[in-house]
Amino acid sequence: MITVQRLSYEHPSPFTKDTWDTLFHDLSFMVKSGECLGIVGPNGSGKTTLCLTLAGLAPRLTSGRIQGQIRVFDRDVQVEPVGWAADIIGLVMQDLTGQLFNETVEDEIAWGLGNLGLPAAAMPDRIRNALAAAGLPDGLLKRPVTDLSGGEQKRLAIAAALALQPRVLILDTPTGGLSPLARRILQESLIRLRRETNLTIVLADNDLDLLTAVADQVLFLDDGIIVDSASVYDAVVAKPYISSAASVFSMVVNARSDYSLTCLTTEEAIRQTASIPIVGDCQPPVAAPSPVEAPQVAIEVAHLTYSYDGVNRALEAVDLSIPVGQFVAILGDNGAGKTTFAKHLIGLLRPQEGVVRVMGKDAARLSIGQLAAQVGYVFQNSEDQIFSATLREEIVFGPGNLGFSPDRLNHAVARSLERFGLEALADLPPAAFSFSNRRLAALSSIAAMETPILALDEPTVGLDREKQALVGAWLSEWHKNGGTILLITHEMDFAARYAERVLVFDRGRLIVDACPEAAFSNASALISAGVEKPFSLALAEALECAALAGDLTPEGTACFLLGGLK
Amino acid sequence: MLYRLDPRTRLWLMALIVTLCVVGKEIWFLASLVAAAHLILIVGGVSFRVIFRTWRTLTILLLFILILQPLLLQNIGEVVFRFWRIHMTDVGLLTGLRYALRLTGAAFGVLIPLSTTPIQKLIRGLQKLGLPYNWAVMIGLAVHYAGTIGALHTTLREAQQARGWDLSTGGMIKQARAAVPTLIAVIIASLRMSDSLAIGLASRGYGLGRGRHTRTTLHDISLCPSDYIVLILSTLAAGFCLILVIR
Repeated sequence: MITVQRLSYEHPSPFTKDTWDTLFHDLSFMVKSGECLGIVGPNGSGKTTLCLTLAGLAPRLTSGRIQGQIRVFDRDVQVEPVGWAADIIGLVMQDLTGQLFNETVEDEIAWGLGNLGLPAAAMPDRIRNALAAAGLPDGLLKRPVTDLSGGEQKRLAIAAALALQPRVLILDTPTGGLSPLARRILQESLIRLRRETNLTIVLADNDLDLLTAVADQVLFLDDGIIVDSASVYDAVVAKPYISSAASVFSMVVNARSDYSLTCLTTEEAIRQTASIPIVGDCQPPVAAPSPVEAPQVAIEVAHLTYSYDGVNRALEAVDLSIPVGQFVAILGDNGAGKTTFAKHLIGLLRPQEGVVRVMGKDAARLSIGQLAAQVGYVFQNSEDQIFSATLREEIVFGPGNLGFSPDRLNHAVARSLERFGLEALADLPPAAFSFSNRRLAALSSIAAMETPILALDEPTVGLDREKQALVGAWLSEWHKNGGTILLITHEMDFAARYAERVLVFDRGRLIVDACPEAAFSNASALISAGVEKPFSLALAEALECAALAGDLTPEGTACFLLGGLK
Repeated sequence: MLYRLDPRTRLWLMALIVTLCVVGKEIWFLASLVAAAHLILIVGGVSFRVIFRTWRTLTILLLFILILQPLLLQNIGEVVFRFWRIHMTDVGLLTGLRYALRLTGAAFGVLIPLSTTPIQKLIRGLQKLGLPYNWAVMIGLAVHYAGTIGALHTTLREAQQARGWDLSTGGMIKQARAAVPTLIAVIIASLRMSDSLAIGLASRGYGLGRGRHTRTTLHDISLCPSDYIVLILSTLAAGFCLILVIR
């Protein structure tokens, strides 16, 4: 059992000396033995810090100070020595770089058991049981940890924690960066874990599909309220940062108060709307005729093949052509070849077979610096790549390298700061920013380069829906102004909302290249590639209403439902 | 084959090669040591990619040594050639080559245990050699994260290039200046990583054994006949080399 009484957390301000910023204030809650508490909140609300505080590791291994009391199975976690709770509280962090450091899966799980002094003879059983509990097969035991997919690594970290037979398991954003398929497998593992054990679980994540399936109660960290799982909708509906379904249905309910739709997840939405007669036109919309004029080609790829080890092909015979001004979403499971493809566009990888042309020029004949003038490339984990003393200097770096004139440079920097709402932070050190502001700083530094093509590798991972909307608005504006965009993402709703073309990669091959409506309707390809349908399309299919699929944005879906609900 | 040897045997091979690199003076002897270290790595099954990556890492350092030593020893020995006010002497050139070979031999000697030993076995090997557990863990983790930080450095360098920092042109000074932003980003990311590691270790009971019980391990290490053969042969060979060097 976890009892938290009047817990407040403050951390020293990175920008002002002797000033403390409050992260959360006066939290009180209780999680009974065998129950699961979900924690949600926008970026910077303190989800990670609360997880570390419950495990007794913050503020002692971080910076900050707390007030209040936390008792886990009648022990005060802030009084016991650091590390005492390893066999009572299992912790799986969002960032696994500090958590997985052994050679093989077996060694990784055995590490903690060795720390507890478990005899070697007892370890194999514990390791196998922990693997099974986390939903991983025995066959992975001797596999190098680095060979596992992102989803498997998350479940390995859970297995390593479970092997110590804790009574409490704390998970910090376990779905971060995972493909929809990996998220679903993780969700199934947690449901099974709850069914088969009496483990008390604390699950900090903004994935409401996961929380409503696993948690008994949910804590909203931004305002400190705690609700049971049946009342989550009422708490969520006023918060624009967490659920596609909730945002669509809140629009419907706001306009038509006679309907009491309280949907948080796609499944609930389908169930509730199924009982309502839709009287609108359920025929698919007639597509506007395509322009006859042949558009200029931004990117042309012919027979592109690449292998990192000379044996397994990360990309195999990829052919495609992207016209100037097109917004393309690139989807696929972890390790499908999406990043390998994108790295060819900026010259970080050179084709082993085939050709890549950027704005008509062979990319293999251009330096990375020359390609950077054409393609603004946002790396994965771009928030870890900032280095300047101030945000302004960070943003100046790219355009400065491209030889912008002073006037253009000043304008680009000011525009970029404004676009991401970062004006107040311009002269502060970006390394001290919160995670989401560091991510926005990295995006703003690419935006300021004003390249005709943007290639973005999972730019919205870890951002709440409000921040995602900020990124979406930037990309929309870029697109309207004629920019070409290639967006790698696992956020299907985000892809469906903004992209006009979808590429799906599966084990290095391009298996789908179509408009979003057609791409997301290709069920067999989506299953093979571990890609899920966006909310609007799943709803349209469940209601057998093709017209609903004509506009995959939340506004379009809400608008259609309002038209149909007579 | 190297992978099957006990970590202590691999550490012993490393110690012998590094010691011989330090005491050896003759160019042919040091070159032979570099060749021997390569032979051990290749026969032992270490991939060419790892060997190539090590050479690439050493390149700038070796260039510095090969250029700097002759510049520092311009007044000693016979002048081999002159350029402007710079005199290159035979002593300067040979000294540069000697130091470069020493560094290369020692680096590839160190690579023998580090590139072939999983962290748990390395820690256990160091522990059995008498190192306190915390020290052994520190060394094991440092070796592991050196690779991670190396990969991070590559990514960050690529990220700078993708923002138009063109490294394909310009001389050594520009290259050196270009390294600054990347190194700053590496340091910041490494500090974050160390925070994350401290939490990861504490959450899995690191240090818990000190007060409550002895630390255990899943697979203990032990010396087998092939280890004894390698230990005896390598020690005899190194002894022979030492005698050769001293005489």
